[in-house]
Amino acid sequence: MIFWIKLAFKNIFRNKQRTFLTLLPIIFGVTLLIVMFSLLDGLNRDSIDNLINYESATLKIVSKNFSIYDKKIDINRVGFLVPDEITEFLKNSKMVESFTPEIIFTGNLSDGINRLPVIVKGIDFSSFKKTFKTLEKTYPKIDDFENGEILIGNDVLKYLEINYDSTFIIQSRTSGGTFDAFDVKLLGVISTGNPNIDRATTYVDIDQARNFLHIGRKVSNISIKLKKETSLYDFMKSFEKVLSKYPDLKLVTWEDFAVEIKAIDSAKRYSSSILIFVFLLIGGVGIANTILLSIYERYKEIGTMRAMGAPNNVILKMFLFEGATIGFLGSFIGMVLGGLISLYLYKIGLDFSSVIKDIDIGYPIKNIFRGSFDIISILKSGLFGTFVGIIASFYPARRAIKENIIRILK
Amino acid sequence: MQDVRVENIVKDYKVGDITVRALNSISLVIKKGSFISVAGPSGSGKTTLLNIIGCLDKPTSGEIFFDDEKISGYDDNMLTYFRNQNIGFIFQDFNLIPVLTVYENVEFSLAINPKFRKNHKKLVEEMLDMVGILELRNRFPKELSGGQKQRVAIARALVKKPILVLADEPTANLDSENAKNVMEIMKKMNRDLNTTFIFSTHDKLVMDYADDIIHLRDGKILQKV
Repeated sequence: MIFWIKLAFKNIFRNKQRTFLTLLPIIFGVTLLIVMFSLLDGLNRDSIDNLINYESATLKIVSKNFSIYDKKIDINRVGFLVPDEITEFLKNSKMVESFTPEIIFTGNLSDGINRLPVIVKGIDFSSFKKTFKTLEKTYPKIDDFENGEILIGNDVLKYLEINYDSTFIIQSRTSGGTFDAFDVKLLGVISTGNPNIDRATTYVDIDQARNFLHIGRKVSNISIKLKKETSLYDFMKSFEKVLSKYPDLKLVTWEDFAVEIKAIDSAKRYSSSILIFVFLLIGGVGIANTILLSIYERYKEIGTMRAMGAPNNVILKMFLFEGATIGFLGSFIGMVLGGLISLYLYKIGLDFSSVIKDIDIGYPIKNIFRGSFDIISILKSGLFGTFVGIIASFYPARRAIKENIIRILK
Repeated sequence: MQDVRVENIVKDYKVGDITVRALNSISLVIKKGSFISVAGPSGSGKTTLLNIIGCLDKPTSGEIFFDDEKISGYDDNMLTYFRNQNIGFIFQDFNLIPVLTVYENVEFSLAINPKFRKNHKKLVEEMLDMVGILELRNRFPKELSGGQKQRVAIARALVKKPILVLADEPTANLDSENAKNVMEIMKKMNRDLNTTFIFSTHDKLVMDYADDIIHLRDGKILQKV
């Protein structure tokens, strides 16, 4: 084996310039493969983190009328009273880290001059802080949240005229169907990096929301954060018995909320794969061409080997080794480059905030795109490049064993 | 005993619509350990005969036997295996692999031979020593003279201990001094290893080394000396 690997190395460096040019698309393809998938994995990971940390929690108890696709939030349809049994279960469950009620409705936020459509969330400060990371991202830092105060996403600020201690008006329809409004004082701004929060969400105290909507003790959902080591499936199974007593309620998990993220992710992976496939195809054609040229140049040598009794599989093996070596070398360089870029993306990331601005890219991420650094994925990409080399050299290698020995010896 | 027996070999080539007979009813027996020269002018069929005996080409009709083993009916894979195990080749242009050192060129012959899985180093060095180029083992072909290259080719052909070595005009690209040296080495190997050698040549001096000379003309044996 060592003899053949050594021979393959020696053969591919007979024409260094040609080998270098052949390596380029493989290097580029493998680097791109690693970087693209690092970025997509990172975006996917951060999107899901942003979703769980700021929007969905691990799962929610909602009304059976609730739909994640329903953009119009009607509190009369989706609001429900939380049964004491459920509250007790959640308090006592060893799998639950924390849970918090939310009241969600749509309204207009006005500074007296400008008016913006926003999502208003009524939250219980202490339990919300334990369940979501949103309140860790406020400016200034806040320790409590009182009636008559509001937190707003930092992108909302761009459209409003504000000063410190500004007062806003929130207008919305109450549960009775009439329009009403209430005043709130700006407590702080929230900058989570999740555009769904930063661009359109405001937070008020849950009691203020209840009073405004006239919904008594009703909530829009109970958001639940499970302990780290807990499996979603195990919790749902343990909760099944209690929940089955309340047919008007159901569970939705973060995975249900992530359907759109996953669809966008797979679409982007698909389109990236096509691009990378094209590069690796060019690389493969380059390898095939190099091996074919090499065979034409070495016809007499191949004839000599075959005359000496080298079986067809040995000749095939020799050229497949050469293709694999070119593929491996290109992949190795690509792995190093791709690995370094992935590491940079993982540790530092790329700041796209000035490019993205208000554009919806489909992921709940803005500002900094971070990649992932997965050594197994990098190694797989390298193996893939080597595999391309072997496949690409198969056809030309067959040429070497098909030719008549007497003819190629002349 | 490993005699080579050729019976009524005919070889026709198609050149366009015309059939050219390169060998016409050739029959001969070559005894094990003999040192045979095939002589004749260009186009007389020397190379074709060597190619057929060397299992590189198949006759149009006729039979070839190595002892009693009839090899003329073998398919390509069987012929490849037969060459691998039993036949060594020495070419006029040496046909060394330029990226391999002297040692590696000789080792190649063992690397493709399933009989020799181990002890390559010992066998190769012994053979390089026998042909007098052990000290050149790490050189590449481009660093060798013509005579040295042909010695490498001889070592490569003989390292696997074949029963027959075929040499197509082995001295054609060498000056007379080197040609003489190469022939002496071939003769020494023939004597020491009892390997059968068949070589083609135009050169009278080279023919003088042969035990027997087969003269060919127009694809027929003109004379056997």
